[in-house]
Amino acid sequence: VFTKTTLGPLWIGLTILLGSCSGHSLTHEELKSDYRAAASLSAESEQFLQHLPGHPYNTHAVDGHWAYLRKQGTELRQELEGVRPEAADAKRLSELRETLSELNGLLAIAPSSLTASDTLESLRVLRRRLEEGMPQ
Amino acid sequence: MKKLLGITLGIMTALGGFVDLGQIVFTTQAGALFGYQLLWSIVVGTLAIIVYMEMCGRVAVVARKPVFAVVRDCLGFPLGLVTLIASNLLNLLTCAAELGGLAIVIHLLTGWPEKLLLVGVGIGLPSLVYVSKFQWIERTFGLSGLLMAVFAVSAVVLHPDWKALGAALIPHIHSMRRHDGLLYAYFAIGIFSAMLMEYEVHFYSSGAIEEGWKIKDLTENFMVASLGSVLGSLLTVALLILGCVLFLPHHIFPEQLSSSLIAGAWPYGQRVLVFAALGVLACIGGAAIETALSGGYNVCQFFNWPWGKNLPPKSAKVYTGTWVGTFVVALFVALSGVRPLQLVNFSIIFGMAIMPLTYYPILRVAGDRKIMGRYVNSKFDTVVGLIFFVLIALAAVASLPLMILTHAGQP
Repeated sequence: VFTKTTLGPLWIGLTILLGSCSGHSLTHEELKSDYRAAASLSAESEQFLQHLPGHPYNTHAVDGHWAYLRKQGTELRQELEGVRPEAADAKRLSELRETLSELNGLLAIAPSSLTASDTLESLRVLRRRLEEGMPQ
Repeated sequence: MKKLLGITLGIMTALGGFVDLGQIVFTTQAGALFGYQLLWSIVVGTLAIIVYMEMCGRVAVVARKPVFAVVRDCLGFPLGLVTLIASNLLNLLTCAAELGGLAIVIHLLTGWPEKLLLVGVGIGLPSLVYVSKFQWIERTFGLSGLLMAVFAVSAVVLHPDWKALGAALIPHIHSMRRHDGLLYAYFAIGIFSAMLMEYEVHFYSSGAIEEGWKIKDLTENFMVASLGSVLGSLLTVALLILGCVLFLPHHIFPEQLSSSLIAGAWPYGQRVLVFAALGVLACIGGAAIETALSGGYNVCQFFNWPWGKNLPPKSAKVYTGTWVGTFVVALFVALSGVRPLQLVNFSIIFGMAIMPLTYYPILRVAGDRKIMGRYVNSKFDTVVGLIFFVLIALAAVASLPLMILTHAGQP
């Protein structure tokens, strides 16, 4: 029944169908993944700020990269709006939202206006909070 | 000198194919997640693309058949047409992602608004292609892409663990949590796929015909395919090292092109960042051109219409219209606000899923004595080609389920 003329379109159709499938209810694993993403963003921002003093970049590169990190944080926070977690994860989700909002608050300030030591300490605190709160 | 410049086809094909937006971010992420462990997939991908690039170059020269003429003859019209539509859709998505990537890099260099840059790139790049001969396009983008070498320098300066890197040439099965195991497989397949993207062989075989390669050039075919691919491969390894050295220890999963770009200049700062950015621009720009031109090549080769960048546009109206159209539609897709990395992630996996439909016809024709005469595949070529084809087919079957199960590679 399946000749090469029917198998090809079938396979490509299946490819497109499967590719477009993406469910969206927040499972435990997805919450964990979001925690990891937030901790990673916090760590990357921290690493970048630590790197800047010894390695001068022009303003465009610094502000541009910082803006992309900020956008990443904003999108991650937006993705958590309106999602329904598993009952046992409700508190953790709420903590993640709160921590992400704080992180986005820091990322909203241009790096040149940040007081490096204070910001680094705040980022460290946020990252630790995310790592400790990460679901098992 | 002419022969030396001929190598630029291989360099542009491989750099635009290997080191495009997707590969730059994807490989850095692989290094950040699994250290050097996925080095073997880069090696396997490099060997596979060398084998198939050489094969399609040989078929183009001996049979005077570019890839999509081979696809049509081998798969028949209906399945060939489906492959054509899927390949050009893939080219369109990849081209849109690369245009977005170009705008991001120029934005980081100049601070100009990204959307404005996207429009500028979407108009400027096709205009440049329109007025340039094929050879000048490949020379300009192939040679400028070599600036990416600064990524390799940075990787070496950051003192990678060479012993661990060497050990990663052989895949090791570690006990991993289920999700990490799936991620490992996803990234292995993604790296392999990004190195074998269909548009590379479409572009390479068409380029061989554009350049008027003759039978006497066949000895260089292997060298051109190998040198370009090895160069692209070394840069990919450098990206893996940077991901491993800079991001893995801090549990950072870099999700931005700017993260990978800054990683390339990490030990030095702004001066080197400019070179890294120019190298990335050349590679991503080369990829955008390859995908758009491939769109034109594919359609015309399939329907046997006149094609060629060196033909006057009036003599190859459909060809010119298709590649210009690819750029235009890609620009609108990019302007729609879809993130370039989302697009490219999808195109890498979708490309893997339909890859057997491109590589099977090449293998079959290159092994057909009636068509290839004394330039037919040797037994060794056939066995190696078959082994890689089986890997391609397995990866194609696994690619979509893995994309769904890992939420497109989210740790």
